Amino acid sequence: MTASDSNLICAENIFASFDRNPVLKGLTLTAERGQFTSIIGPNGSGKTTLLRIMSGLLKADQGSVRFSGKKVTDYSMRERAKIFAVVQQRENNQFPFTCFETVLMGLHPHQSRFERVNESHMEIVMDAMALTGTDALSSKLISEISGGEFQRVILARAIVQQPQVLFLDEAMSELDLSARIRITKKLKKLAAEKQMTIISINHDLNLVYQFSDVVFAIYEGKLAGAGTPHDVLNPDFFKKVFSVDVEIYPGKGFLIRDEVCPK
Amino acid sequence: MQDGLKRKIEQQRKIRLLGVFISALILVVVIATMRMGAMDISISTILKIFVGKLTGKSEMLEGIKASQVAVVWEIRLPRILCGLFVGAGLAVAGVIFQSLLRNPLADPYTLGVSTGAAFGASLAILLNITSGLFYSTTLFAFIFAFLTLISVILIAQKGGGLLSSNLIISGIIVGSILSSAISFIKMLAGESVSAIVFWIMGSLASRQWQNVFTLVPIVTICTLIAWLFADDLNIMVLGDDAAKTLGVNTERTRFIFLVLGSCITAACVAVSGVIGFIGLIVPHMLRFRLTADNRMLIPLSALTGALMLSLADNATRLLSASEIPVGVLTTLLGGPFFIYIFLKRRRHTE
Repeated sequence: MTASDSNLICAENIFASFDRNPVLKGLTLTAERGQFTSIIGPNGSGKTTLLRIMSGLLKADQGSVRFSGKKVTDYSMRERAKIFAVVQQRENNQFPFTCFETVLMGLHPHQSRFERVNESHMEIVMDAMALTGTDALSSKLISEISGGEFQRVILARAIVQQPQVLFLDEAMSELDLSARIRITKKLKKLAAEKQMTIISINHDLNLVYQFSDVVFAIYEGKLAGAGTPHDVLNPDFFKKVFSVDVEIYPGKGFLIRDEVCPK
Repeated sequence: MQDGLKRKIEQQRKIRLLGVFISALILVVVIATMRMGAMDISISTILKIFVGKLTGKSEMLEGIKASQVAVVWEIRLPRILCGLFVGAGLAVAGVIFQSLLRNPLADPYTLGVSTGAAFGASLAILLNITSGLFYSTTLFAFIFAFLTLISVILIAQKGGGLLSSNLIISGIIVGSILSSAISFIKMLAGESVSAIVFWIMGSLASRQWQNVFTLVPIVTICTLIAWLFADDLNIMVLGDDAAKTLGVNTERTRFIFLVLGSCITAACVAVSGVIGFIGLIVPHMLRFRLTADNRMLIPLSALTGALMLSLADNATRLLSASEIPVGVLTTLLGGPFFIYIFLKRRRHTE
């Protein structure tokens, strides 16, 4: 293994199933440091399961995920929380924490039990809240804000964890268009600065096309495409994986014409 | 971010002030309660008895009637201390179970631990009546509270893991079986059933030092440990997946807090029987009025619970000569009050 290899996260030949129904059928992918990696695919194709396995929340039936050459399941929860942050699709909380308190929880893996929050911590929190545009929400209760605002707060909390890999599972699905673009751009910049890898599940394929360094497409539990957005997102691919007819405008994006009836 | 930080600092200041205020109130209530009773004893006499007993200087007690010393030291003080610590314990257990089960309407009794303790105590009372031997109701209450907790955990684990929904369901199952078992014991007790009934209703009357020595260390130590792990408890509220990604070992943390909450509940129930609603209302109200941060909520709930139960116990003594059990009073007052906050919350969230 070379030095540059050691910084990759790689999933190797992953198999997973739910109630004996296979979800992932031998999937292999690697992500490099500092890259914005997108995972796309239709509903039920196994994207979330893959993300949960890669981030160590779920054990694979077969295959392994390694970070810096070490299996992710061999890290303790605390060690893992220092290198991975995960923004999940569903998180709910009926208790009246403020947004500030919620973002502050991202410091938890970095704090010992008796350590109080100090100024350098505060700077991290401030930066994360600025990046996600949540400054103005900080004194509000999480029960008082909208779904999109809540997603931003959770994203800020993940950034506060200062992870080396940031996993996003449709983390911006409830944001409006301009916020999506703005935050995606800022995240990309942060990733480049901190050499942080972003692995993002995203249904907004135009955004994927414009901002991803690498795209992995999953279809029926297998890899259906891997490479730059331009390589992966072509008309044949759209027909096969998403059952839609598209027109590609190279380097810019695509236009969806109609659905195609699956044969 | 500045607003959030400001709110937090403001909150902490407010809660500290409130804590001091409640502590002062507790002191006033304790002194007033020391004077309450058939025998009229002046405050200076009470103070002398205190100093004399605490410093071990028997010359301080000279000139005070032995009966007065006995009433203050052996009757009134243990009851007051039991009231304070049962109130504190139930409120802290409520904070723990609400956060752990992610349910702001949970209480120390949700997992059936208290029913287990009540079953143990009923069994001891029955055995004492039928065999003529003396079995300790406290010990029996403790043993059965823990057997209940263990069965609830085992059932939840077999049913898919220590998730809050599994714990609540298995708590309800075990609790209802035990309730029937208590009814059966009552039936077997025949004419002596009133001893069991009265114990279950929850009362602080005629508690002794021996009860204080069981209660105080358990409540104090468990509350301290819970406070130390308060940050983990905050994160547990986010749910298992989120908590894991923030570095909390959810299975271990849940187990620790289950044991802490159950220890406190068992100690309280063993000493005072079943006293309802303190453990539900105190944490619930403080959480939604002041803060969800368990680091502040745990100590504040302890103080508030102690004050509320002491006041409730005094009220039962003032209301009637025959003394309504305090558990009946807290449920009678707490029930409607709870309906009120429940309905108000609904309106707020809609």
